[in-house]
Amino acid sequence: MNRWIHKLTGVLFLAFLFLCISAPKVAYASEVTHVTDDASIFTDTEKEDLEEQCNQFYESNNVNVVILTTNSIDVTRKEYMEAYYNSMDTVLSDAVILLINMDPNDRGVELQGYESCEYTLSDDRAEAVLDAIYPYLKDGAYFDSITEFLQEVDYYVNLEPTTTYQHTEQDNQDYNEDYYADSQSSDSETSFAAKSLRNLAIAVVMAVVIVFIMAYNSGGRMTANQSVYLDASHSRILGQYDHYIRTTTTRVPKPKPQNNSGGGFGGGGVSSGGHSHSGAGRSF
Amino acid sequence: MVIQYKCPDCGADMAFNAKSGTLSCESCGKTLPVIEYNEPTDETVEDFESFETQTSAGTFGEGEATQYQCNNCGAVLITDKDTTATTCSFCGAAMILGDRLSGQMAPAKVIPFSINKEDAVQAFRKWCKNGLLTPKGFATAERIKNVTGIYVPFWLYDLNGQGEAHADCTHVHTYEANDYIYTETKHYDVYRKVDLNYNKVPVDASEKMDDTLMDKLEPFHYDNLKDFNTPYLAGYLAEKYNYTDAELFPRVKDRINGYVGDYIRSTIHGYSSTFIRNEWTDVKQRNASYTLLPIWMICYDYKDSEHIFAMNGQTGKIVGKPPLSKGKIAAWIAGISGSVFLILEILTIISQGGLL
Repeated sequence: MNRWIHKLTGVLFLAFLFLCISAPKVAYASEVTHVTDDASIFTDTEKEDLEEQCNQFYESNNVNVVILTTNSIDVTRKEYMEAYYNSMDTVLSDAVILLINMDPNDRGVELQGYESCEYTLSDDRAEAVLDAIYPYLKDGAYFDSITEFLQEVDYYVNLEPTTTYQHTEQDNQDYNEDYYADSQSSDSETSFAAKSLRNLAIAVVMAVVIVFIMAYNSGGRMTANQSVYLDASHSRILGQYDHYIRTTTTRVPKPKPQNNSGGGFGGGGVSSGGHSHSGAGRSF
Repeated sequence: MVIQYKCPDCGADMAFNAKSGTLSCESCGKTLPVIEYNEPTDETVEDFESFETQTSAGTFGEGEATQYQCNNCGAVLITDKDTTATTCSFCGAAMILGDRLSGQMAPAKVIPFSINKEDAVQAFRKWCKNGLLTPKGFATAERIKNVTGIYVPFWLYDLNGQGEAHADCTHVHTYEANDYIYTETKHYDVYRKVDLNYNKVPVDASEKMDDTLMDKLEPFHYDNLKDFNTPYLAGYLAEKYNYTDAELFPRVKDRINGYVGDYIRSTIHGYSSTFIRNEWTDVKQRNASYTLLPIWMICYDYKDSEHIFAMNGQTGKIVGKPPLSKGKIAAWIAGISGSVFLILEILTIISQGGLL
């Protein structure tokens, strides 16, 4: 019993130390430039507005949101963002970076989460965020896309990280009903534990059905069917026709191939500076 | 009116042998083909003749109190009103009650037993052992109480089935063009009219036998269907029918209506979906022949309760509800769900690219 108390005190002490060390770090963070609009897709007032929104976001969530826009970059979007974070890691700490690249050859959006945001904004969730803002980007409503983006990220950073949280599916469903009609993301959001639970349910139902059929057939099956007694030589089809009536055609747009330039499985990775991160990206 | 078959050599009682398909004498080993049995003893000549007279006179009345006497020992035969063949409970001689097999009650056809008692018991033991859900004690099949070979009365119906159906069918074709996926559905109006004949559909005509049990015993192979002759019954039990072919017709009609519907649906193919708009079927009886089919009834004691199994005396197919072991059921469910779960987990891990 004593040992546990010792351990607990130890952990608490470490947590306190960690807070002390990280506190000065976040003190700088308010000085971070949240919006760097190299591609000039925002007006000045929009830019100020966004900067203000990002500051508010930081105050309520302790997470730096960085919006980068570029006209052309020499490296991949993923590498560009990793380099950016490496240069700013001391001030950014827990951060979500969104890159909008307007280069006609590589027009796309990329999202990365660092430190705690690597888990609160896992690859799957990052995809879900992109799902939500994608229509705005496609329409060129860049300001609206960022507003939407902040709302989405605000929701996810306040959720438990996917690695330990098991009830995300329900949460997401509730959330999806409120925020977007596209429920596709809830499936990709299902945590491993929830999937295991689902697998177990499927397995048990299958086993019960199979064993029930075995038990049902244990007394012998009816094996005689109509072909056993049919006198084929004295049986005829007296009349038949297959009249063509009409053709109906429906069409749906082809699903867009998702451009996961975030790298690895689903966009996460480790930067050259040694910072592991989550991420997702696609072209628009 | 008791028919007994005496060995022309030694005078002992003869019985039908399932293996050889002949009448055989257990005392001296003489065998006589059923068809060529034309050396009856004096007694049986008399009996056969009276059999013939009864056919024409038709004096048999339902529930008539007839007393039968064993020709060997003179004992009074104890039978119930449906029995047509049995063995004398005192001396064990095979007896055939000729008057109960005459007139209206004369069977037209018979499929003789091809599996004898020893083989039946052996096959049943094997079947018990192969039971996946049966309790361990049952699987040893040590408690067979009795095994009885019975010729069960069936009506074999020859039927004509007619049917007509209108259906809405679709043929779906998808293709991709210009960033769109097109789904093209072709609609068809489909019609079929069929005239079908079904031969020798068996329906159990004995009230003692469980109908579903008897249905499951099918199919019987009709290449061994013989014209009825009393020697086939020697040594076995036999019953007479309780229901006429007209009384049982609704039962076979239901079944054949389903068959005609199945047949119509089997002629509509090549479509992505078929919806039967309306269907009409009708079944008419062409002929019904009163036939005795060979069935081994096996009575089995397990944990104070009796289980009854039936075996097709021609093909050896066994039906009947065996007791189920709760332990084995649980083990199977656990085993199957465990392995399915494991496979699904592995698939999930692969599709996710490893554990988080």
